[in-house]
Amino acid sequence: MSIKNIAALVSVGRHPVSGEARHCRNDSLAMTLGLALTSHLNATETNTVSFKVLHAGNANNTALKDYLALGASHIDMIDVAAESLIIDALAANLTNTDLILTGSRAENGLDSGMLPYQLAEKLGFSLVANALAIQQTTDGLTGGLEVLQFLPKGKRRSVTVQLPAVIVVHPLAPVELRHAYARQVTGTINQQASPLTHATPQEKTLKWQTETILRKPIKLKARENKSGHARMLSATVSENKGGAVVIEGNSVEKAQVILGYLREHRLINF
Amino acid sequence: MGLNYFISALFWLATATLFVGLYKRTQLWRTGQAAEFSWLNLLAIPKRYFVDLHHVVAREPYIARTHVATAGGAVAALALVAVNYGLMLYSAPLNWAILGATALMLIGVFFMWLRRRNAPARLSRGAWSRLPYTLAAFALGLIIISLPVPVISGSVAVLALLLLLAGSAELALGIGLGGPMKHAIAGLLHLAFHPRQTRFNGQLSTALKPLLLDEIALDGITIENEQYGVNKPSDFKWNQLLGFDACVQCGKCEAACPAFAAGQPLNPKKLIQDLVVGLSNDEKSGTTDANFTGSPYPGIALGEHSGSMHSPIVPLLIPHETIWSCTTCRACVQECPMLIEHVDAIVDMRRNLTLTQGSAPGKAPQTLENLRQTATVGGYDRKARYHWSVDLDVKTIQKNQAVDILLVAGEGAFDMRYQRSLRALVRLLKAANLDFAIMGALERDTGDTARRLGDEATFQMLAKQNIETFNGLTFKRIVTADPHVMHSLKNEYPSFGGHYQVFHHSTLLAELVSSGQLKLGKSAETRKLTYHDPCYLGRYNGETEAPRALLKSIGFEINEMERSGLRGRCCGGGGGAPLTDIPGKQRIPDIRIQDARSIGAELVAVACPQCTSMLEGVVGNRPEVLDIAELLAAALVADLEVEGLELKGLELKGLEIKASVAHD
Ligand code: SF4
Ligand code: SF4
Repeated sequence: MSIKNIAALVSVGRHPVSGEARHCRNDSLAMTLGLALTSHLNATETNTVSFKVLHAGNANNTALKDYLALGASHIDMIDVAAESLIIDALAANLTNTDLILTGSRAENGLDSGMLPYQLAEKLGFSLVANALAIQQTTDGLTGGLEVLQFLPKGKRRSVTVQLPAVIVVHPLAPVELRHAYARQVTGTINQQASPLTHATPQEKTLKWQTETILRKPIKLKARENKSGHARMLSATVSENKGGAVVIEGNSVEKAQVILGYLREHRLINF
Repeated sequence: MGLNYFISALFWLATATLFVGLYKRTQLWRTGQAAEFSWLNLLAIPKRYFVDLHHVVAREPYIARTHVATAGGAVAALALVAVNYGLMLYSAPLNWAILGATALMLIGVFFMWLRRRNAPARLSRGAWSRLPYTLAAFALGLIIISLPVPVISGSVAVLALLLLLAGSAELALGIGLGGPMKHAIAGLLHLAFHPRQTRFNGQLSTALKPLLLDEIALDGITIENEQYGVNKPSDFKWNQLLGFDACVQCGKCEAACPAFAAGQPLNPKKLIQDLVVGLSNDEKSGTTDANFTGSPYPGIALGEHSGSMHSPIVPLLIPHETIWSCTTCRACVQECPMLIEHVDAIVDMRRNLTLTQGSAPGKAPQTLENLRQTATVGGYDRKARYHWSVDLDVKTIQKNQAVDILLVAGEGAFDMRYQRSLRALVRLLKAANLDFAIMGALERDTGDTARRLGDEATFQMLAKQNIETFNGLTFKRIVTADPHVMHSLKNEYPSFGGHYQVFHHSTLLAELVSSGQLKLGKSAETRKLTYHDPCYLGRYNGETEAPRALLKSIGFEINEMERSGLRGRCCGGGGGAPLTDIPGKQRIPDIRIQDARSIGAELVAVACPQCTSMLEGVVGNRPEVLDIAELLAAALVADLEVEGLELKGLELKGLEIKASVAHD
């Protein structure tokens, strides 16, 4: 079986500092990999391969245009009322797809990273996680794909997967993203009604509550300038940690001592 | 007399040839995009030639005089020939006049030739080396025929005619065939139809022209129209194409270009000549840049790039790295005797690359994404921009609260080094009892970097957001220590409806010092000082005096480096160049620090966060780099008095004491 339909799933991300809605970087990597694979297949194969970019969620989100700028000429957008319906909505839309590409996890929302698994289960597709690169299997006959997988500590593994499949792209996939405003202007977002009627949500809508993380104060540590031998020694022998108690002098002089200490240990640089 | 008729015939033939050539060339220029212009500007040519253009040429008096003699003599001689031979008057007195004019031309040509024998590397050779000979031939021929002898022997007459023919060919065919003499006609027309007309009203014209993004989107014009900047030579405005044709390949831009000096693959002269190659060829000819006879882009061989009017410029005609090496310092524009606008051309091409392909190299894409998503260059939290001021007791501007001065810190505020300069500035403003406030979390980046990198969409988004913010605030003037911020706000925001009075801190402080509102003592500094002009303050905004006046007011003598003031050498920090980071043989700031070292300076005064970080980034033994504000703050009278009272304290605490003493 050869590939005919490829889809990339994209979500709305959130900038970690500003909180601004944006493309989800990991999804963009998946989409760009898909675009490259599609154009490669179209250049080498006889049958044409179609590629679609799919988003299920809130129709009013302006961040989707980022994906247009990043190369999607067209985005299919399924309006889904509740997050719990997303899997069903996507599955209904993806039955004829041979290959589904996604990022590893969203940047906000439920953010569990479970979507690809649930989707693969629902559709009965194989799943490969942590993909860094995708190419056709070299023998060409089996109609599978060869996926380079990320493993910790710089290790890599090459696996072959039979279609149809869901491939989950790793956030470190070596893909260059190119944002071009002109594509954002010419690209289109096509809104589709949800295949599920809003009247039939079986699942209970989950109630989530967001609160900000309280950052714990970090204790600054003076950098140690000890020899290797001294460090080994200090692991076994309990030693005097040094330091001084300053009780003499006025407040300004005391402050100078503290400043001096901080400067000496490069904890401040003025 | 037979010879006279020959000459009349030759004159009219040459004139006809010239016009046919000019017509052909205008057809090429007209392939460019429409631009606003007025025919009336043709009348302005003499003034623009003798004042504006000559102002640039006169920086090199030898060439100025040579050119006056050569061109002046030639134009006078041609005009007289037109009357005497063109109208077939053949009058003897006119012949005398022709003789005089031609002799002047010949003298000019002689000195031209003399210099060519030992030409600086920035000059082109090839056809340009031929020019003294063909012009001399023309002058000699003309001298012979206008000699007041009754009969010239046959062989001399033939010789004179041959010489004249050779010279006339150079003059008449130049414009049509793209020879060196093309510069005369294209140059004069360029003066009339220059894309920046305000340059001739004695104003600085340095703001980039806005790209009409919204209109483009509304009209449904698609990428195929390539209206996002310049993709092919024909995407330039017609008067830009005309401007490129005016280039005399003098290489003054090349000699001034910091990227070229650092061995990065950019040479503004070659860039303009490449565009000439592009505009003067059609698809079939496949003409390469092999005929270029000047210095190539460092590290890139000639003959491997070719282009035509309707094929993409980058990377076929001009390599990618060339476009991204430019620091937008405008040194080339400052030096160009033909008033060509290199930076506009480069940004036009960058716009196309960024907006249609997103192909800016290095850290540029990340920076642009940061600007889009956080409105800061470095991807910082906007709320953290003024953290350096928490202990300084500075007002943060509020809606419905009027202040005199709004202090805009810019991206430098996130840099721990530059925060020292900003703190010094705040101390000065406080010492002068000014009513000022910082912008706080309301401040967004001005989008300057995005604009120089060609990302007009991001720039315009930020500009509109900033203008909206400013419109909701009440202040009289904006003060900033960042010349890039100043340039955007002052020169570029007006196109989007933001009109503000914007001052660089040096201008404001100089005013305060001269009016006596800010009292400064003498600096205790004994080290030898020099001042580095930021491009965006000097060339972009014409401010070279205030910083010098300030430094002098606290007792410094300013030792000028090679290249200062309006001709100052760039630090390498502008135009997004540190982000695209195109490799060269050297780094630009190293060259600038070498300038300082070679005059023995131990202290470099700066007035821009980019300059500060570029010059401080130079490794090895180098002069100390201090912002003007820091030097001034150290000479605050209030502080000196406090020291006299021996009330030295902890720096931060001390500020409060000093400030309160200043009020007493
Ligand atoms: S662009 Fe201007 S400065 Fe550069 S070579 Fe041409 S005429 Fe000379
Ligand atoms: S603006 Fe500066 S860096 Fe750019 S080409 Fe001109 S001189 Fe060179």
